[in-house]
Amino acid sequence: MKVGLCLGGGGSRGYAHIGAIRALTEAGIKIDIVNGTSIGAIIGGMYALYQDVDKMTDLVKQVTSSVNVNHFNLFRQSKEGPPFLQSWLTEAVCDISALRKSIQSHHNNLKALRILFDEKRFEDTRIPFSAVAMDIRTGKTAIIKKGKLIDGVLASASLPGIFPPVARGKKLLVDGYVLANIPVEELRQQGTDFIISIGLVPAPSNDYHNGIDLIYYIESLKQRQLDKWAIAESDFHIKVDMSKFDSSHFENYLVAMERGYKATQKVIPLLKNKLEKANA
Amino acid sequence: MPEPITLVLGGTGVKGVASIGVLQSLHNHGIKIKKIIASGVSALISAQFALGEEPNLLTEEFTHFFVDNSRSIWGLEQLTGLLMSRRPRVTGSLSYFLRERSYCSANLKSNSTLSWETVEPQITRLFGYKTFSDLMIPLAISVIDLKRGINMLMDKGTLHYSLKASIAFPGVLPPVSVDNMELVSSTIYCELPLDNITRKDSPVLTVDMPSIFSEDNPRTLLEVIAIVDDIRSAAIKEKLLTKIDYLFNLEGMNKFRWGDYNQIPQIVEQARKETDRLLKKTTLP
Repeated sequence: MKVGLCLGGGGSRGYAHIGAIRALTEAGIKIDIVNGTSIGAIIGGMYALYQDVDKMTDLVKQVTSSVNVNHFNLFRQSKEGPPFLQSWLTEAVCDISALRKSIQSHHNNLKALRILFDEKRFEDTRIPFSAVAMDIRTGKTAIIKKGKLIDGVLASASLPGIFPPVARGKKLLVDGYVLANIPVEELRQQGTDFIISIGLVPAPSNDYHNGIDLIYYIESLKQRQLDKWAIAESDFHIKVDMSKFDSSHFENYLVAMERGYKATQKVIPLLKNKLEKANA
Repeated sequence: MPEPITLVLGGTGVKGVASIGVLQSLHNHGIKIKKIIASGVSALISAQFALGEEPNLLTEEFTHFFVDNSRSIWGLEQLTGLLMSRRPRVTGSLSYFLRERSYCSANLKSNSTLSWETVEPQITRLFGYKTFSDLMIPLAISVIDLKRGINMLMDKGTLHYSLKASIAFPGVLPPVSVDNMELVSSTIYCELPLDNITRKDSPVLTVDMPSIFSEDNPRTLLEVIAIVDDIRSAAIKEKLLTKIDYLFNLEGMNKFRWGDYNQIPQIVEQARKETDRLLKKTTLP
């Protein structure tokens, strides 16, 4: 039986995946294939490449101390701070939104991904791995399993609006969370028999102060629905409670790892039971 | 005696206006309707129809609205894929830049580009204080309650607030506060109100219009976000459509540019012809 691990997106909450993988490894659960979206692709890629949780934790520490990985949300900043700065930022956001494709470039992302993956390729991983992105030219999900890990993972984590889309052949790729934040179906397509999925996105918050917030809130309602459908297709879903965790701050990785570890440890007996039944 | 159907009508902006043609055609063919579930502009049209009035009387109202307010509805066009062309001739112009920028500016400073003063008098003139019980065909209007984060159907009380909520497209018109709820149009979530259909509603007929998905490259941040939003809504629609008994796909509508508001009368006429054609091909229960 081929057991697959499917890691969902969720910004810096994604470090919880490392904790979850630690708990699965300690319990002796063997994973044959892994995929992921966004931060799920970053962690999934590392896991497939190194198969070593301590090394993954060290690399995350290294990235956090040497690269500024917090993507500052200008939309939010334009509502906080002193009034003169607010109005100046609001105007700046409007200009950026109507003139450029994104608030930030990929500069810092590439720096971080180079530390994690160097020049390694999808073909070098110890277990099969794929990163999930979305092609905005066709409106379809793209499964990336060839080429340099940096390139595939970068596309999967290009949050639309914050980072520019990544061109790959005829495709124009953005973060796979748009259609497949928990890419269960994409892992099933690769012949996986038993899928363990991990989801990190908390319930949508209806704290809105302007039209942009409102549209973002409705987007999160859509995401909740799409996630629900994806989870229903998975054989075992682990929901890590990431409420009250500020997902824009990547330096809180230890808190996230701890939560992922605890949530997974708690369900290990149940998971083992299900795996045994599926094997029989 | 044919079995009456539940009709599900949606569509944002100009796509919704096409429902006028659909209702005309169904009426002319004597199709019995036991209930209408509608969202967006289709809710206004369905209310007019359910009151026993000619829905085509609204064509002119809508044409005026879209032509007069075309500068303020950039968000509606983009977030629903109404504006087909992202070609440089359109998007490179100064007027396009200003529309896009003012949409962003209005929505960072408040929560919409238009105020209710623009449309409320027309709704009052058309529907006054009529209630759902005045309708000859039961109507349920699909909206999203922001407070609870759910899609729901409004089918009781005064029509006025429910109709306002049905067209409160986020970013274009402000949410409608009523009875401890904060309501907006559900068309931004899914173009068709397919969420709350129950077994009791069967057999269900719904009418879908082609999505205008351009393969042009997005040029700006807001366009990227708009495409993403549109792709997600389409994915939700595709999944929910699987539970519908009869689907009329008005493919012939793809000859229109939804953003061309002067063509609204022709769009309505084409929708009527398309529905006529599909009714000939399909055997309803």
